[in-house]
Amino acid sequence: MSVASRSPYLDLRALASVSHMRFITRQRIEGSFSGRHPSRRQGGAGEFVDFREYTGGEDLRRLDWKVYGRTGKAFVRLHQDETNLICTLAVDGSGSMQFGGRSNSDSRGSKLDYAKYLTTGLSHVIQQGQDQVGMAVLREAEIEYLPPGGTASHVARLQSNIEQINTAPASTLAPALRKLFERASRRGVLMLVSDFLADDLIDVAAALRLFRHRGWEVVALHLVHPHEEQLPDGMAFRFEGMENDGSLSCSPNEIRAAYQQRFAAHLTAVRQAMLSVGCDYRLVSTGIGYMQTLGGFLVERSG
Amino acid sequence: MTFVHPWAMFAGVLLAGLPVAVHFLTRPRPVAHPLSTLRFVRELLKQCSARSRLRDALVLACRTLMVLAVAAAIARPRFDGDVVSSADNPGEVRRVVVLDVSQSMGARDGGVQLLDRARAKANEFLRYQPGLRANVLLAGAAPQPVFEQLSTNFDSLQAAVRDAQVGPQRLELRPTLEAAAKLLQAKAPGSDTRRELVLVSDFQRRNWGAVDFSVVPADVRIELVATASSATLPNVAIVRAECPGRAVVGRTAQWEVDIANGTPNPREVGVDIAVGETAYHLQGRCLPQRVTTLSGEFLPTAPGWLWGQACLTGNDDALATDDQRACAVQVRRQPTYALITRQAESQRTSSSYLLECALAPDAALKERAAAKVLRISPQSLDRETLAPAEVIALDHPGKIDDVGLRLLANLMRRGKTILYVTAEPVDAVNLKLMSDVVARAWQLPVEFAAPVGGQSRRAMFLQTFRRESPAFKIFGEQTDAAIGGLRFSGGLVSRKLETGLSDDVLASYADGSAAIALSGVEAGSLLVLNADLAESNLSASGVFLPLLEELLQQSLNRRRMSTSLASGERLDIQLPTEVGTAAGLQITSGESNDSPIDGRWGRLADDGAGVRWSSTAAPAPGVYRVCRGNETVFALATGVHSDESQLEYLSPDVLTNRLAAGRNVHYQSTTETEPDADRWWAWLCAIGLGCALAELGLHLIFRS
Repeated sequence: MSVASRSPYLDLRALASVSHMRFITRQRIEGSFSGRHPSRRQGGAGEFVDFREYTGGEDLRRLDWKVYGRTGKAFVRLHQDETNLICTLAVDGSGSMQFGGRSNSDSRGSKLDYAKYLTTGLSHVIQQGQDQVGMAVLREAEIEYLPPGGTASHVARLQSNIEQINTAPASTLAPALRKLFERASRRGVLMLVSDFLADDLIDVAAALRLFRHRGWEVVALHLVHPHEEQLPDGMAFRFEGMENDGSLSCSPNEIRAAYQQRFAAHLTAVRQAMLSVGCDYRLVSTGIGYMQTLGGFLVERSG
Repeated sequence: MTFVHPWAMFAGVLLAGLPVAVHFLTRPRPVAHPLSTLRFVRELLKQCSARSRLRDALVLACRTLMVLAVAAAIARPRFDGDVVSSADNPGEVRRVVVLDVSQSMGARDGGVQLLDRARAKANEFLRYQPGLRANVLLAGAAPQPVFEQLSTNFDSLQAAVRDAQVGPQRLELRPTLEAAAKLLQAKAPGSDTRRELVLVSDFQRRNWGAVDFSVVPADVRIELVATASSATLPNVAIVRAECPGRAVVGRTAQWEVDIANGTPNPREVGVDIAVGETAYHLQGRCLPQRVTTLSGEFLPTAPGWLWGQACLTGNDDALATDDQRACAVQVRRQPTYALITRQAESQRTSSSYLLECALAPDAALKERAAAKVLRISPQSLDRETLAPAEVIALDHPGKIDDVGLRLLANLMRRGKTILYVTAEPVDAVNLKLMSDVVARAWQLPVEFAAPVGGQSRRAMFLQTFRRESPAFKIFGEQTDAAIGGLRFSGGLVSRKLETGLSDDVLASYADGSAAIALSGVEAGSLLVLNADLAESNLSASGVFLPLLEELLQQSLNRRRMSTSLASGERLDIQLPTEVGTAAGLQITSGESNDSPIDGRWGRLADDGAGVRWSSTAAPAPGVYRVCRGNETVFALATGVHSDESQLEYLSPDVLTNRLAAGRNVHYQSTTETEPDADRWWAWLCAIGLGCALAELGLHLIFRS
């Protein structure tokens, strides 16, 4: 029975252009079922990889008797298992993701909208590859978690959940990541979509290090809205914070140059933090269409 | 500090808050804008807020200061300290305006007489204002108040100022300030009456260089109003015109004219001297800022008084009044001598004989010598015999009785010259008795006495003598050679008196005794030659005649009466003895024989020593004669005081700093359309402009 997704963020026509592409991991993973991704385990089936001297207790069915007959030494044949991909899409649910709401002068939408399009498309691509996909919405200290699954109904539910993501004022991201770490039991791929406008960037890096330490592959998609990169033109603005951090009146002209330097420093800091923990870091501008971003990502991943 | 437009200062104070109000009212209304990176903005604002606040404060300060400066410039402040009160700050005010009417105020500066400027300025201080009482002092040789006390009759005071004329007088500051202080004295103790002294003058250096304001009460505010526009005015003046020495019939005399060149360049000047029917012309070059003496000879032909006037020709300068000067001179007959001696005329080698020959050296004939030198016995002295003689010589007179000595002393006091050759001890007694007769009026420099033990003094030489004295100066470089060979014998010993003038001893012997002494006795003089001419080689040397001639001339000149006086100064002259009594004498001016009834040229009166001509102030420049009938017995030439011809003026700094001696003295000039005290508005405008530029610079520095 097929379950059709009702998510407005799922554009099948657009995704048809990437339907032939698959999300390929760069390291061996641990899946639930047999699949097309190299598994961390080496078993008796699959592609031959190597010999290894027999040790007591091993399955005699893997013993290479021909080698034993020729050399008198016992070796077992090692084969690379292939398994399916378990991908968890972690979306930053902090208030700052709402920045850049669609308006008369700007139809690009907010960073959250962009993340919804992107993660919905990714979930579709992953599901097309017979892999399992789950999701988590990261807020202050709580997460909204949907474990990975591969069924059409699961994916439809996931996409529905993505559609319904709402933000909450949050200035930290690390606690939610730690909770996700505790709940995600199987190694896979963690795709974190965030603007990283959190006060605890170092803690975020530490939390991601936990995932990496357990053997997860972590992909960090850093969303940046073009209007964040520079302050708006005008004499005076009262800037209102999006994470319950009050408001501030000032003349942007006085700090325009300094702001640009400060934002560039922020991008550099996030990039260095992600790379330092072994994440695959990608800076994504919401000014670029999400299909272009998705296509580029998949092309790079497909090798 | 006062303001010309005080309302502008109030407006400025009110408007000073305008920049601050404008700053806050015109701040752009902020537009609400959500921002995800608010913490970045907050961090940056923390860093920039101090800088922004500093910039805003500086900009606001600049704008506020600019508004205040412009307002103050419009208000036109005057930092003139204790300026005299005006109608804007009324109150009880006592004011004395001193108007300088001395001769120097007649100078023309830029075609305008200084007094004209002074009148206009003085009247500004005499306008009606509530509570003001004023008076005017016309300052010359003596201050002349318009009213006896302070008055509110400003019309009369202004009329007096308008009618004031320059007088040929020198400004006497001390009595003027004392008179002003006396007028300002009437102030109730503890009252808040302001007392002000306004001095309108040209502030000549000669007059004001030593002004002392201490005679004015300390609380009197002094306002100096200068009328001259520059430090000096070019002026060439005759400051003296007279005949020095004695003018004697038949002997060449000199006119001397002193020309003061107050210009920065040398001048070729010509002077015409018109005396009686004769005219003389002097020509010379005058160095700048110097007094040059031009001289010319003339030969008097008849005895009597000559008077006239010296005029500068072709001179165009600031002060015309001092381009001419009156002069007067008395031409005398050849002097006649009375020789009092007991030696016989026939005793040819006697001292008196040698002296007689020396007194009449050109008298080859005995008759002519007798006409010039009259030998008189000491026992037959009387007034009628001695009166015609101009010089009375005493040589070996022996003991003279008291009557004779008294007669000689009185004649000496009234103008006779006595030559006393002291050769005998008795001469010391005679001199002592004569000095006792005129003790109050005369003091010999030495006291003569007979030699100790009656020893004769021999072969003495002159150890010291006054080279600058005309008697020795005539020998020039030969003085030492001429004097060194002289040997004197006889005479008296002398002792220097502490009360005597050492300058009166012209020569001294090696033993300290006076050889030649000359001292004045009221109108006359006494010349003592301490030697016996018969025993000395003086009479045989070539030095004797010129030495004696110069000594007698020096004695006669010493009693020469001054015939010139500055106008306005106190007149008090003892007329010569030959004038006689005051009865029948009258004073006339110039060629006129009319005498004023009111006696404004002075009064003639008898006193114990003769006739005295006195007046509180010498009359205007000119010649004034004392006549008996048609005969002129004395003439006096008056002229402008030489100080009034020096048109150099004190700078404001000197007046307000050095001469003010710590007093708060304010200075202003009538020629400055905008005095220093009123130029602050320009500086305030510059400050306002500077504030505007500073704000522009601040914006550039803060890149805002």
